[in-house]
Formats: sequence, structure tokens, C-alpha cells
Amino acid sequence: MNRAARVTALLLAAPALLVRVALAEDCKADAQHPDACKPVEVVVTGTRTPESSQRATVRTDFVTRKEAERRGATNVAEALAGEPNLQVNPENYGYLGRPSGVMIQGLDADRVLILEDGERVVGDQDGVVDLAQLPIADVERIEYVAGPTSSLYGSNALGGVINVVTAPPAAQGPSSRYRGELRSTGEGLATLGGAYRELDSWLVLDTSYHYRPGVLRSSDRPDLVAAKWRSTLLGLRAGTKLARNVELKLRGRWVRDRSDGLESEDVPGLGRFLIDLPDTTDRFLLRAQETVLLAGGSRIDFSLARSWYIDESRRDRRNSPLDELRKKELSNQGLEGIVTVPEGTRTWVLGVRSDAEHFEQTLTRTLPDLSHEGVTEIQPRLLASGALYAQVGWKVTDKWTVMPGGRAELHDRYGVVPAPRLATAYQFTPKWSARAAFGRGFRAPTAKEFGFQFDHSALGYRVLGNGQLRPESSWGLTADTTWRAKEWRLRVGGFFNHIKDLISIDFAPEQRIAGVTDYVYKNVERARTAGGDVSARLKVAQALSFDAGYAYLWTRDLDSDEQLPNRPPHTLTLSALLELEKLSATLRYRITASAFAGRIDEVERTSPHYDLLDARVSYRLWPALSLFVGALNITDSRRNALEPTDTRPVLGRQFYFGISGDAPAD
Amino acid sequence: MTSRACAAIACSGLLLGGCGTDAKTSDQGGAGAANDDVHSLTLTVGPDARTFVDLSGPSRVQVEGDGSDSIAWDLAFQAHDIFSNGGVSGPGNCSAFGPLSAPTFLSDTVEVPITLNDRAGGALLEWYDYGGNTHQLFSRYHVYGIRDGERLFKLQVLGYYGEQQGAPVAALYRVRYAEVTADGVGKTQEVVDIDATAGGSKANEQEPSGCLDLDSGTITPLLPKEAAASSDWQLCFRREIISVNGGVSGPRGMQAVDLQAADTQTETEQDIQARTADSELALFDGVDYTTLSDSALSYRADGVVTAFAERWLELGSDPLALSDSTWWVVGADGASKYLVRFTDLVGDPATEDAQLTLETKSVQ
Repeated sequence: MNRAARVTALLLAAPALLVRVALAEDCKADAQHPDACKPVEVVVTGTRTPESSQRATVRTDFVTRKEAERRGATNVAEALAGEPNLQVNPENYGYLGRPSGVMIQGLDADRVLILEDGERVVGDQDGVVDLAQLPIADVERIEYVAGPTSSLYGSNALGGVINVVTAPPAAQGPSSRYRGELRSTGEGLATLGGAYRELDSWLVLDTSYHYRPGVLRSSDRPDLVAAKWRSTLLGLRAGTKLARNVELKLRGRWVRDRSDGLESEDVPGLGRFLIDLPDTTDRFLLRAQETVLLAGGSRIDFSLARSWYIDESRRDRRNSPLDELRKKELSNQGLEGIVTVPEGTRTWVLGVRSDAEHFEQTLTRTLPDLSHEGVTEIQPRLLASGALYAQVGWKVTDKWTVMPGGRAELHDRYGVVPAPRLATAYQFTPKWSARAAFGRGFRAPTAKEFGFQFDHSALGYRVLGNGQLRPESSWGLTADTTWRAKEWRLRVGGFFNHIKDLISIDFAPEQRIAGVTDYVYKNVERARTAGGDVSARLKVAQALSFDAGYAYLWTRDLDSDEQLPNRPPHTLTLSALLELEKLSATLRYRITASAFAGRIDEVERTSPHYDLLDARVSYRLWPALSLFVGALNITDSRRNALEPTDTRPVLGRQFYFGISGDAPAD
Repeated sequence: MTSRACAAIACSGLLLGGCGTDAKTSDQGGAGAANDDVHSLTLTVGPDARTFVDLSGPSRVQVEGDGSDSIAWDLAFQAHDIFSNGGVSGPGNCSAFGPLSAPTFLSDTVEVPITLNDRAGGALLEWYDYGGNTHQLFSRYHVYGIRDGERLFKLQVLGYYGEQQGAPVAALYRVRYAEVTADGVGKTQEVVDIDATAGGSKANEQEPSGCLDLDSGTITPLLPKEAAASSDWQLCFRREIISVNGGVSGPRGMQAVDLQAADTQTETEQDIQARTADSELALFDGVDYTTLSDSALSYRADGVVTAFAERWLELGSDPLALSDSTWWVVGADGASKYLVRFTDLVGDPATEDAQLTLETKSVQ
């Protein structure tokens, strides 16, 4: 059996569900191909069919759990922050409370789709999903695809898709995984997972607790720029074979985040008032997946998932009953069925999906006469959508694969949105390949953008929804070429996106009443983004390897003819990894260039460039116990809290240590 | 959004200023001409009567009186003032924004941060500075001279915020004032928590203003219509607006003057925010009868404040010239939108019947 055939067989046999990765291994030694026993990374997010990451028709990058730990990551945001072609910086969203949003190809917030095991993550802050609130306790790897991917995933996939993936336990019998870590800032993380597997049936219990102390905005004020935060996770995953050809997976998870912010208000003539900002978020996820394996390698995957996001945030004035309570409830129910049919040189994927999203938001204020005023900021609203999509992966020749596909998504508010994509890959030589994808992305207006009634008159403005919004849409081209050999790999990529009908808050031509201005969501903006990246990997010895990556980003707001704010044009990452039998050491360096940050009083402002140096050493004391110590931001890059456009990190240099391990050893 | 918000805030300061004068009727003619989407109209504008224009033609329209009962007009011209049919000037929904740059007139779509309709205002119009970062109003601590018949008062606004249930509340004024006579300065009165909240930021005509009687220091809540017909108050507070009982605000005939008006344009936000009631007490105490009775002071009654103010003219030029600018106007129907520019002026409408040519264009 040649290698390609082995890989093909491996992929077809991969126990993939709707979205699945696997670390496959073919250990039938082959003297002609010494790499054959090496693990083959399989990704599926880019095409919804399992493919070797090196030969996938659509470029799909990933960060494994092991790599995330090497980066000292305690959450998904920190795991992705080291990728050269991603920007994960909470300081870009300081006005939203610093959620760790991700930016791909210059697009961010709800223009990047965040998935967990292929299901949408619900709950965001003005469209920004906080990746720092996604624990990595149960994560096996994080895949990401850059460029429009709405042909497969529908709304929000303009800039790309992030897919956080779990996996069943590899070991038969009982197993466990743990990690404990303390940081010099007072931050602490404890994760513990226990699993039991017997043949094809398995059960996993995931738990974690994460605490992060608050960070003062400046030494002369009590305000916290980062709230004190703690997160608790409890998850249960199970899988079994109901019959010889029927697999079932179940997942339930509860995450509670609690943050305690503090801000002060200096009122002319009255002095300083303190306001506590407690916020509690509960996120629940229930999911069932069933796979029916058919003859000839065909399969049917069913998925039923329901997510809830319940948030209560308060503004508790100290020594005053005049408080505010804002409640936000969001739920999403998704039902999906996919048929995958291999047919000679073609593999067909046909899918149908329906989503129902419910959202409401209320605000209750205590007034000076101690009565309560209730305001429905977002009317209870159900947004429903249904989608049909299809894709065929056609291996035209041994070297050339073409993959056309498309999706038609019907939304109850504005009809059908089509999203085609054409992807292709060509293998010039065994060491040189290239691929390209051209497709459409779109983003449906959110319930908030439709029906928001945010009355912040006390601060001089209101934000109003708009029932006439259209979806945002984009066309994008992404391409890359890769040269690889046993000791090195070089990849060069590029992209271009044209986005129109961007929804933005705009001024309504309404009277300014008593110092209050109204802002209304509208389809008012157009933009273009383009760029490229170069990455290289070099293995100089069995135990020593180097990685280098450079990403260039160009953006343009076509209406103002200016750059989009907070998009660093240059990002450079360098890393070195030393892996001995028991010792592992990592050094990582990242430079982020200065970026246009917008205008204040018509004066152009920029965020300063900064660099980050991280180091980590891990020593395996026993097979199931490793000790690690590390340092983050050794260069001590730190933002000036008084400069609103400074997007350097809030935290300076940090040190950490801890223990981690798998039993039995991984 | 941030940059646009800042732009709006910056622009809002420019819109505050200038007052209209009393209106009388006239019977002047007008002639229109069209050039593609741009329409031209020449009007006779004089000092004694309003000339009314319907922008949809555009055409001159005949309206009785000062137009306060008619929605047939969009703009009215008299002397150096341009009134729009909204707010205190008329029952329509007209509003305007400007000045915009002259090339804006060539655009088909125009984005403006806010629009204003006509409102009452006078010497105390710019008592505050709007803090763009905090969205708070900071008193400039200017001292105002108030003339009530033969009596003179001095007044200083100390703050816009009061405390209720341990929390700051906007539009609870704190002021100090004293009567000033040739024999000396009377006792300084300080009044706190003058309720100008008017039901909150969405103040409507059914919510009362807080109206102050300077003799007794008492506050009487009066609806805007009640205040406009009453002589039983001297100063009325409604959200950020402070009215003096005279001119378009009331029948008492009072006038006021900002003694530090000359400083308004040069004061920085930092300067203003550093001021406190204590630090500015000396400024208040330094005002005496000699100061307030100075014949050089220009006391004035409340008038109509319009978006145009006098910025459509190059005041001080000889002969009087037009400013090279464009104005965005919402018609009295609240839906029609126009760009308006003024292309020719022969004569000074404040002193004679002048010929004014304007151009209009419908926009989205």
C-alpha cells in the first residue's frame, strides 16, 4: 500500500463526526518512507471532510493542546495569540470591557465565526466572543481557517472560522489529565479531567477553576482596567457505539464566569463616586451527535445542539440604592444533518441545517424615589434560519483537486443569502503544493442590531436598532503555496477581501435632545483587506526546531479612505523549541507593529508597536508529572493607561510555575 | 463610532450662539430658476419682516404674522437671521446643520452628526463646557449680569449636578447670586438642587422647568407654556438651558450679559475643568455696581437661536458678504432634505431691503 492510499484509508476510517480531528498514526513501517510512522495531522474545518493538514484543499492551521501549553496558555485566546496571522488582543476592545476577540485577515468581532466542535459559540459583547472565556481544559486542538467560509458555515464566516475541538480519551481504561499553575500576578489555574474508556465507549469529566485578580487602571485611581475574574467549568462528555455502524456522542457543559469590576465617576462639583460592576455569566451547552456509517465509506452525521448564555451585570453604586441591573439572555438551537458520499475520485458533502436564536435584554434601574424602572433594551426576539449546502471534492488528477461548493441560507428577516466557494489545490511535486479558495462570506444582522434600544442618555447618547438592515457580505480570495522537506517547511500565502454593507453605528438625522445624540445601526460602510504571510519551520536536529512567521495586513475603509483602526500592518513571530527526553524548553518572540487607531478630534492617533518575549521550561519528573516554569512578556511591554489608543498589554512581565500531566502518560 | 461621536461633540459647540430678533410681516417678492437638480431663488430680505421660503420649489410663500402657526414654510429670512420652521419658530419639524464646506453642495448624500431646530436662548447660552470624554457639563463659572427693570443682579452657576440617594443626578443646578445696587452688594444667596431634570433626558413639554425667584430664592415648577406667560420668575432652568424672563422666554422684560463672554472662545477644557466654586468666588465677589452698570455692556433678552445663527454671513465685511458655505436642512415635513447655499447678496438686510439669491438641492 503506498502512502497516499494509506492516508486515504486512514482518513476514511477516522472516527470523525460532524467536525472532528484526529491524530492518526500508521505504524506499518516502511523503509522507503521513514516518516510513515509519524503522526498525520488531520483537519476538517476547512472542507468538512477529514484531510491531512499538509494536503488539505483549503488551508487549515491549528494549535494543538500541547503547543498551547508550551505557550503558557490558560485559555483559547492565549493559545491563539502566538499565531502570526491572527491578532488576539483584548486591548483592541477596551471599550467593551476587554474581551479577547480574534481578528483574521483584518476582520474581527462577529465577522469571525467561533465554533466549538462545529457548533456556534453563543454569547458575545457587541459581537466580540471572548476567547479568554473558553477554557482549554477539555480542548484537544484549535483549528482556524482564514478567508470567507460561509459556503460551509453560514453567517459570520467573513474573516474566517475558529473551531475549538475536543476529542475522546485515547487510553483504554481509566485516565486523567491535570494542570495547576500560579502566576506572579496572583492568577491561578487548576484543571482536572478524568476519563474511562472501554473499547468504543467512553466517559470524560472535565473540571477547571481559573482566577485572575483585577488590574488597576492607574495608581491614582481605584478603577480596574481588568476586572477581578473567576471561572468555573464542569463538563461531561460521553461516546459509544449503539450498533456496529452507529456512533453516538453526548456532551454537556456548564461554565460560570464571575467578574468584579470597579469604576469611579468624578462629578463636577460633587467629587468622586464609586461603582461596583459585578457580572455573572452562565453558559450551558447540550449536544448530541450521531454518526451512521454506510457502505462504501458513506456516512450520515446528525447533530442537535442547544446553548444558553445568561448574563447579569450590575452597576452598584456604593452607599446608594440607585443601581442598575442588566439581564441578557441568549439561546441558540441548531439541528444539522450531513451526508458524505465518496464516489471514486469525488467526495460529495450534502448538508442541511436549521438554527433558531432567541435573544432578549432588559435593564432595571432604581430611581431616586426608589421606584424601579424597567426597560426592555432588546425585545424578546427569535431569529430563525435554515440552510442547504453542498460541496464536492473532485480529484481531477493525482495532483489536482477541485472543490466547488455553496450554501443557500434562508433567514426569516430578509430572505435567502447565497454563499458559493471554489477551492482548488495542486501538487506540483512531492515537495511543492499550492492551493487557492475564492468565496463569499456574509454576516446576518444580529437581534441586537435589529432591535436595540440602548438608552445611555446620562452619558449623552442612545443606540438604536434598525429593522431594515441587510446582511453584510464579502468576496474573498485566499491562496498559499508550500515547499516542504524532511527538515524544513516554507509557506507563502496571500489574501484579498472586499466587504460591503458593513453594519455600523451611524448618526440618525434626529434632533439632539438635551445633550443626547442618537446613533442607529445602518449598512453604511465598505472596506477592503489584503495581505500575506510567510512562515518557515526548520528542524536543525532531532531535538531542536525553529519557527518563524511574518504577516502583512493592509486595510482600507472605502468611505473614509483610511485604514481600519487597530489593524497592525506587520507582525513577526519567532520561536525555538528544544525537546529532549525529559526536558522541553520554548522561547517565543513576537513583534507587533504600530497601527492606526482612529482619530480623536480629527487628529490621527496610532497605537505604539510592541514586542513580547515568552520563555518556558518543562521537566518531566515522572511519567505522569511534569514541572514547568515560565515567563511571559519578559520585555515588559505595557500600555499607558491614560492613552486610550494604546493597545499594548495591560499586564507587564509575569512569571509562572506549575505542574501538569496525564495518567497514563500521554 | 468614537471618532464620529467626537465630531458630533465638537460640532455641537459651534452650533450654540447667536440670537434672532423680533419678527414683523412684509410682502416681498421672489423669482426662481432651475439648473438640473439645483434650483435658484432670489428674494427680497429686509429688516422689518420675515420672508418665507418653501424649499421644495424653492419658492417664496405668503404667510401671516411670524409664521408660528403655519407649516407652509421651511425657512424665513429677516435681517441677519434665518429661522427654520421648528422648535420655537414654528410648528413644523424643520431642523438644520451647518456650516458645511462649500463643495458639500456638490454631494448627493450628506452625513451630518446632528441637526438643530430653533430654540430660545440668550446670554446664558454658553454657561457650560461639554466634556467630550466624560459627557459631563462643566460650568465655566462666568459671572452674569441680570437686569430686571431697574434692578441688577449678578449670578454664577456653580454646578449642574446634585446628589440624590447617594448618587449624582444631572440637571440639579447650584447657583449663587446677589443683588447689586449703587449702595453696595447684597447678601450672596446660594441655591442648590434647582430641579431642571424635566423628567429626564427625554424632557418633553409636559414636564416642568425649575423657575427661580431671585427675591425669595424659591423654586417654582412651571411648564414651558406657563413660564412663557408668567412674570413670577426671573430665571428658569430646564436641562442645560437657562432662560431669563424676557424676549422670547417670558414677558418680564429681563436682560442678561455674560461678563466673561470674551473669554469663551479661548478657554480650554482643561482650564474650565480646573475651576471650582471656591476658586471662582473671587471672580464673583469682584463684580460690583460699577461693573454691572457699565454702559459698554450689551444686555440682551432671550431670542431665537438658530442653526444658521449669523454664520451664513461674513459679518464685518464691507459691503456685507456671504460666507462660502453650505447648509443641510430638513424641511418642515420632517422628511424632505435639502442642501442650501447662498450665492449672491446685494445690500445689508439688517438696514435695508436686500436682494438675496440662494440655491437648493434635494438630497438623501
